[in-house]
Amino acid sequence: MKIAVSAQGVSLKDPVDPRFGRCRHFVVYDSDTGSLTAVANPSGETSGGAGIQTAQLLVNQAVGAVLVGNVGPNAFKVLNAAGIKVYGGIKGNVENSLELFKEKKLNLMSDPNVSSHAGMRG
Amino acid sequence: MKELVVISGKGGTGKTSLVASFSVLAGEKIMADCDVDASNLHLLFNSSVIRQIPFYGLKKARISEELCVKCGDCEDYCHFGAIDNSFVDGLSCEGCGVCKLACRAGAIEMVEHIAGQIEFSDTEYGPMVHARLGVAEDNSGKLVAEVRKMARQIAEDKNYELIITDGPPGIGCQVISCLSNADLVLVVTEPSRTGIHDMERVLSLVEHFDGRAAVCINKWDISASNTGEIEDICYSKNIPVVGKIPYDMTVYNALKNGIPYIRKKDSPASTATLGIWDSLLKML
Amino acid sequence: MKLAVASGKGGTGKTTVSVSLAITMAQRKRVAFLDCDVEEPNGHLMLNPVLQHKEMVAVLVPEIDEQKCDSCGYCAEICAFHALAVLPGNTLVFPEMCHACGGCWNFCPKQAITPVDNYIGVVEEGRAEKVRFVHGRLNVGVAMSPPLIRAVKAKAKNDELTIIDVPPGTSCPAVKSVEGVDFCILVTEPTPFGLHDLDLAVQVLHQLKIPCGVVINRSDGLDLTVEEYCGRCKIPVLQKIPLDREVAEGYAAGIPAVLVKKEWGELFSELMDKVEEVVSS
Repeated sequence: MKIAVSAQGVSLKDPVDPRFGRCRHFVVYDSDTGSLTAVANPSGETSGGAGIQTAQLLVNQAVGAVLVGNVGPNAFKVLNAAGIKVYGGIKGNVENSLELFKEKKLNLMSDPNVSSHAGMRG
Repeated sequence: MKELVVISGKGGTGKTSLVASFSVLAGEKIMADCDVDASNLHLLFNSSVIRQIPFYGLKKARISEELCVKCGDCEDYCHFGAIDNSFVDGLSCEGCGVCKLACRAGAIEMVEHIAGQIEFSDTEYGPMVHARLGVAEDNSGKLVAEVRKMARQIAEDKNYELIITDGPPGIGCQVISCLSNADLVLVVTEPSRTGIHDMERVLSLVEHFDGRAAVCINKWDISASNTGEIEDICYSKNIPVVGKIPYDMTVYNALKNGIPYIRKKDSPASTATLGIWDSLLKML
Repeated sequence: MKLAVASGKGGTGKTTVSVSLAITMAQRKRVAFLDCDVEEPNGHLMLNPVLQHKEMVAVLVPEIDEQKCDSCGYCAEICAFHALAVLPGNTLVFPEMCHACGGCWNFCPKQAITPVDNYIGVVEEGRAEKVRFVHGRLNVGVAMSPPLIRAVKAKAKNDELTIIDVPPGTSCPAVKSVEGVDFCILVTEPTPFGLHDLDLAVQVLHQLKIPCGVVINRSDGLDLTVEEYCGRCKIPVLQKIPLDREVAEGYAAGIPAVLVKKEWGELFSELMDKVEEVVSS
């Protein structure tokens, strides 16, 4: 399974980005092969709907779980519908978040933990 | 680092005058003016813009005259009435890109569009980040987020402990954009029906974001009964009312002269404002 | 005649002017008051109309026919507003993000998308004594106000003086509200804030080629900077409304200025005379 961590950089040592839709990168760990890749998130620059677009990106990457700080309702709805497990409230760096995930010490989210910025129009 | 965000819902409650007075009272801080439709805070300071960066909105359509075959398809498909005789009206174009999909001649491209400017200024009370949005532009929620991000960055660079943010009016997305991660949200209201109505809306927004709120009532003696109602609402929501500023011509005259009213010492409004600032510092 | 009352900045007394003008003019002719500030309507708080008629307003949003959809992802790709997400075997629509551009339902390769109605708010009509009253109320959480503003404006009739209360600012809702009017009254106050925001509003109106004039509210008689500005831009100063604590108290209690001070009726009829003079010249 592929596990994506929202990150401020592209390596294991980079800190987790608390934002979902506007995080810079995802560091993706494949637990079957042990491989690591970084996926840039272009949605940070969009005006509205960054959460939905970012969730779509993870769906297209066939990710099975995502480790993140905060997720809004629209993004959560997409992730949930796609069967991607969401672990929220993640802090620290990518490496220790993945460790905590492997040790099953993270909490699975059942609801979005931030509100929608839906629309974002004047 | 702490961020104090000042909002009001309804316009004209004296929010910006109050923020300017806080800026005089506070020590080292950076100011962020997030009222991006009509940023006003700089008008009360001696300020000069030292740097500008463009802010890009959604791309807008452009039709190439050479390639256009005047078939009119783009006009038919555009739901915003933004294309007339192969000419795109920038004010109406929402940047959906449907015309580009419809164009069989490949004559339409979506081009970058500068929707506003983010400005960095020096003032006698410290650095300030503000912004200017172009006429009829949207995306101001994103611009608000950008202004706050820039202010945070400068505060980090300079090792400042405080950001004072003059929030946008209203209760829409711009305000929402100002609330995330704020340490304290001060809601400035006035004792009118609309003032109360908007205060309740913004307080529920703050609550929604798990933010900490405080309320201050401007021109409270315009209606003692409405002021009482505001205090009751705040009490029931467990939100502190950190002060009441009386109707005071000093505020009007200072504003007319373009200075923060706190500089007129010992006026009723200034005295009340000192008390509010003390309470806010304790809460922060 | 269609007359807009606008201001670059909130809280300058725009509603005070539009409401008092409507009440004053209704003594002389047929008047309709259209509140286009659909995000924050408050004309009704001052006019207390009896609302008799209500109409739902909808915009189009996509509906996916799951039988025809093959999850190709094209709709999500072309949607500039990210209102769609395509999952294997399931396409999600986010109506509150949709701008009804029609991209998805016009260009779906499988023709699996059709437009359906999504209700965004209501238009309410009624009477406040002699004034015919219309306003729109946008549902909470809806980002698209222009279609509702259009619906409110569609209630204007040609044989009336239509007074349109415009939302503050210079963004899209303000532009949509003033489009197509014969004249726009800009309400300002004699402060640096008022002047700064007046200038923004004037730029919008020039761009839209709508003639305008200025009302200086909360005037203490010393309004030189605003007057100089208007002189420079060749914009008439139509009226000055004095700074008055009683009026402020009346506003707080929801009483229009012209009912607090009966003698102000003269101020507002003069204002209308000036507007007519400018429009006909």
